Amino acid sequence: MSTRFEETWASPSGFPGFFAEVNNRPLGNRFMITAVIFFMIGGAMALLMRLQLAVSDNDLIGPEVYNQLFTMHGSTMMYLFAVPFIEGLALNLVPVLIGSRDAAFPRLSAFGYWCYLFGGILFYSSFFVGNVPNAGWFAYTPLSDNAYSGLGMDLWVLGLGLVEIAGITAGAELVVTVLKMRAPGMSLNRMPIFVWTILAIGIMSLFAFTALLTATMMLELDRTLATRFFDPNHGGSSLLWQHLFWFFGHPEVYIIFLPATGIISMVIPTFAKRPLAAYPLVVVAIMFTAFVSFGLWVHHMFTAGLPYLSMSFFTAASLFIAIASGTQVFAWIATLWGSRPQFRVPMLYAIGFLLLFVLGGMTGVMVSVVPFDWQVHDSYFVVAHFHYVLIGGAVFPFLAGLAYWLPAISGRLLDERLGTWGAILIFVGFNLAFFPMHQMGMHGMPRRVYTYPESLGLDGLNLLSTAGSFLLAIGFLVFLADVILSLSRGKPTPDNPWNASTLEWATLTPTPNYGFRQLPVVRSRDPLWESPPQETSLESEAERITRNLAGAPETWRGTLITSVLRAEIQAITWLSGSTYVPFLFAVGLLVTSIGVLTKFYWLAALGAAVSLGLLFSWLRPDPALEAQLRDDPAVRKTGLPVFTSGTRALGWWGALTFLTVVAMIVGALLYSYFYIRLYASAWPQDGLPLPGFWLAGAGYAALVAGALAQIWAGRAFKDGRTGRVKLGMALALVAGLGYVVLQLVDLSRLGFAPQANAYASLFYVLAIAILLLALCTIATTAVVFWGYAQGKLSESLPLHLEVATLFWGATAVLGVLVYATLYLSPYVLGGTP
Amino acid sequence: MSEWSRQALARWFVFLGGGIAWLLHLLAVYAVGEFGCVAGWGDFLGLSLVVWLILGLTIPLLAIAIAALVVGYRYEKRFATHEIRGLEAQDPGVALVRYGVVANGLFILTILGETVPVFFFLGGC
Repeated sequence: MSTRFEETWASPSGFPGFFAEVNNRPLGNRFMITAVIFFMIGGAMALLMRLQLAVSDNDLIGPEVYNQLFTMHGSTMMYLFAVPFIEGLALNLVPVLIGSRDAAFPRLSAFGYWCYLFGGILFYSSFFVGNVPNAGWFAYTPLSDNAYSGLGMDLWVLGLGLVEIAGITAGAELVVTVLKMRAPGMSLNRMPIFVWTILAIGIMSLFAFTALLTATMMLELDRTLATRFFDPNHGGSSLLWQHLFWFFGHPEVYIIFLPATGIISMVIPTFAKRPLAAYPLVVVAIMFTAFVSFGLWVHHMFTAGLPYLSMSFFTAASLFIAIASGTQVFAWIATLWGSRPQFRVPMLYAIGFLLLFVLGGMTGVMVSVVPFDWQVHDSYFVVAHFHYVLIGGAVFPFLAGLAYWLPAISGRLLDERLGTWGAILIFVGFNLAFFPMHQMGMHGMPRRVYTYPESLGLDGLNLLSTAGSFLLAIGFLVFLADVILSLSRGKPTPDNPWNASTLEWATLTPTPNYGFRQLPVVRSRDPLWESPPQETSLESEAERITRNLAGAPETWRGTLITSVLRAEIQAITWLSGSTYVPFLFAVGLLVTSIGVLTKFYWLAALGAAVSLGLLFSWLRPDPALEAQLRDDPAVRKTGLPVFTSGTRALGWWGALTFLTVVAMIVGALLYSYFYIRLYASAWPQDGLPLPGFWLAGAGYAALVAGALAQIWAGRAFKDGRTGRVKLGMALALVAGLGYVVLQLVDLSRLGFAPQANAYASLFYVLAIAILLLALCTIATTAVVFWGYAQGKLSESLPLHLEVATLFWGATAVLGVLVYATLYLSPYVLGGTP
Repeated sequence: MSEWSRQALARWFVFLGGGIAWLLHLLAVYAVGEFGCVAGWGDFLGLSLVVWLILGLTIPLLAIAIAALVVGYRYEKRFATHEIRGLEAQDPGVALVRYGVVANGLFILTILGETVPVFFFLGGC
């Protein structure tokens, strides 16, 4: 019989309950299952392409269908499989690996999943409207402009927009979870390496996905509202798209690859029966890779005609990142050196990864050198390189991870013999399929071309590659069969079947929704292998608290918050129970996208209004809940606060991640503005007048004044001066509304439309971006002001005030930057260069 | 600022200083390279203005990365002087410094590596 605690954490029952799920474990599984379904669809497309290329001068598939296939294959694998699969694996495992009960923002996880699913469905609905995108997974303009792409491209862009939102929400969710929800004692230097990689990619996602989100929004505006960002005929630039795309595209490779290395760093020590060698150096390598991956985007554009000097910087960065990857490889070899490893199925994939990744890494170093890249660019050599990195370097570790963790996730063991056969088939098939491509590329076979002449003399290698791809597919099917059979008739997982060292094996299998009934206290990096006998006073206090919280709180989902560096207990936090709001919110966004697609703008407005309403109900403070949490007996027993503020509160971190994303959007738009200016023959373009700066200046000054008033209100609150708090917030609201009015008046007097040229498009989009942020800030402040004035906020007021102040600070800083760019810089950078 | 806050700030500076310096360096030299080369900035004392600007940006940013390394190294020496064995496992702040020292070394190398090509383009792009 389940206890009240278990009922609180149980998944909602029945079909309607499916849409109300917010727990990290079922949602993580859904992410992974959906990603695998997309993987199979993308794989089937790859097989069709290989059939077409099996012999020369083949006409099985025409060039148009071939273009559609490679576009959808690449898009599916990069956007709908690799990243979401990692998000799912991380969402499922990270909370239990760090000794928490759930992730930081359960509703955000659910919202992310629905966005991902709806995005994927939108993506694939192009097949049903008979207009499948054919501009490549990178959607270079002008191929992806209206002139060359139809409705299918709109579906691609809007679907991708939703998938990007899922990526960003997952990033925010995972970063805050790792930083604030680790078990007491799990200081940063005791975190499992997999968790380090998830922390790194969580931060990277906030920047990389936002760059792509901004670029795709600009592309869709070009397509639907005839703005001119990427239109060279009206002052725009196709190369701008490439810059923005690859600023996302290259880090994305590392967003996929880093967690894969994290999996390997978990699997190898377990089967070598010894801790990972050079743990500190591996952490440094992860951190270094995460940073430097943002400095490589131009190496995808070596043939785009950039200045030689610019390219040389990126060659250097590309070469140096090999040091970090090499460090990890040597750490794994050192771990295995002299050990007597057990070659179970996860280990077979790990060894396969080591071999393949070193090969893929070597060719990566080769293509980072400009002259070599010029020779092999857009040839099959590059296809071979990135498949060695993405399948050898990522899919192999994913399979290792699945074979390793499925017993914990499902509670059933996989079959060793079937698993071994699967691993062998996949390894052999993969090498047969992709190794010959190196040679094909060196012999001049171009990629993205649907056939090749017999005179190239590559029929034999192509046939071998096609045979290998089918063998690879059979290997994947064997693995899938193993998983399905294990779910139905696999042996139940015993306790810690691999004798691993980390916390996911310290609880029940399958892992329950609540992770741990009693939260663990961690005293070493490998808690299941070694536990120092001496207990410090902090540890014994942590033991007391976790004992009091065993099976508690009973009526609401609660877990511990700990400090960023040392993981010292700071508070208990409330986590949302089941709710339909995230699902309905995602439906609202889907309706908005469909409204834009069908040009039924009233439908788009309706969807946006519903989404906003749901967002309000999501974020609205709940005084009744506050009272319930405060009076909970389990909370009183521990003596810990439930309501905190500043860096202790999850809400503060949530606001910070949101503002980081907003800053990145504004940053990408500012970059676009100056990039377009660089190549413009005159500024403003086409003889448009210089913007008048007085009226807008007054507006932005009001914005800064609003921020100062809000900061003053925050200080008054700390001093206990109630009247000043209300006055400060009221002044901030008035100043904010003043800015909105002045900005709207200024935009109405500009005398040019956003469709005039790229300068005009950027002017409007930047101004509107700040306007929307200001409206968001004003709404946040208004809710807090209302709650405070009504006396409905008590415990959570400090946090709400801080969040409002953060919003005001970001709005003012970004506003001043945008004002200086739009209204002042043309007077300095104006005229003809 | 209390002594504890100063120490914490210094340790985070050691951990992240080199990385942030590198990021700023790459973005700055990219912007200077792209804008300067396309706009055709002129010469000064026989060298292109692009080169002057890149070197001018490299020096302070490299100094930040070196400062992070030096601060970290001084911490390291202090740990060694106190002969604190196995401290890394006990105090995550110490680990942060140790990770930072290695990372800063790598970031300094990368900044230098990115600056070397400038000397092959002294007269232009």
